[in-house]
Amino acid sequence: MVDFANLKRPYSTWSEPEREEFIDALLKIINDNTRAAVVWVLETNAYMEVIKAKNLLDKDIVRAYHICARKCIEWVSICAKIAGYQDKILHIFDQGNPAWRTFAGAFTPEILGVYNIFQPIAQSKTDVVPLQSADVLAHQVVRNFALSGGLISGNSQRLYSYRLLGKPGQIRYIDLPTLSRSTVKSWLSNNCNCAV
Amino acid sequence: MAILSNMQKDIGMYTKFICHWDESGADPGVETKSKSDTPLIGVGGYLADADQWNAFTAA
Repeated sequence: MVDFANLKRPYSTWSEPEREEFIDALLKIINDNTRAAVVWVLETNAYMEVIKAKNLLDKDIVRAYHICARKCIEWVSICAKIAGYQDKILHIFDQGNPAWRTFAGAFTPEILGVYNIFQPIAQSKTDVVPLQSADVLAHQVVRNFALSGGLISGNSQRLYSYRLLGKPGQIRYIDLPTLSRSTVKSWLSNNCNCAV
Repeated sequence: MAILSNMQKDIGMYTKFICHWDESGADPGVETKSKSDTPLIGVGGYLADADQWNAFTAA
């Protein structure tokens, strides 16, 4: 999606109608085949001030990626529990994140049991094509927050996030006050094998 | 998107609901090139049942 939004190759050679046709088809497939959309976005400045600054000497502190990814899983598990769904849910993440190893390693059997999930796995978008839908959603929602919050300057890139959010779900934004609340810090210390 | 991977079908045999997640933005403290210049990091994705994901892949 980054390449598409920034009009890099191969998309740079496409005409505007071709790009619109492609994104229309992609968004329709996503909307026709998914049940819920979930995105957690975290301000990196808030992370640096609340988490990183207090743990400068610790190597294995919780990463910003850990916080967002964990909250996504947590939301799905809560919804499943409320709905009375009893089977385990599988979570597949895009591979390649440097924080993946510590993220995956934090899931003890007890935590897997609490969330009622299989051990999360990481795969490539080539092998597991639906990861591309997550790529589109995460990129567009983050970009939307950044533009609407004045964190980056506007440009000619078109946003499609309003068309990606037609599903039930949860879009949450963690700023400094939110991350500072004791409930979040408590969640971190109770659920991660990390120094917080 | 026409290729339905065997792996995706295998996963679907074992679980009804699957979530797919990806991240966007820079993860502070991780010393690798970030995917974005925005001062935000986000993780997002979709929940769907395995059959729906198979339809997605086949579309």
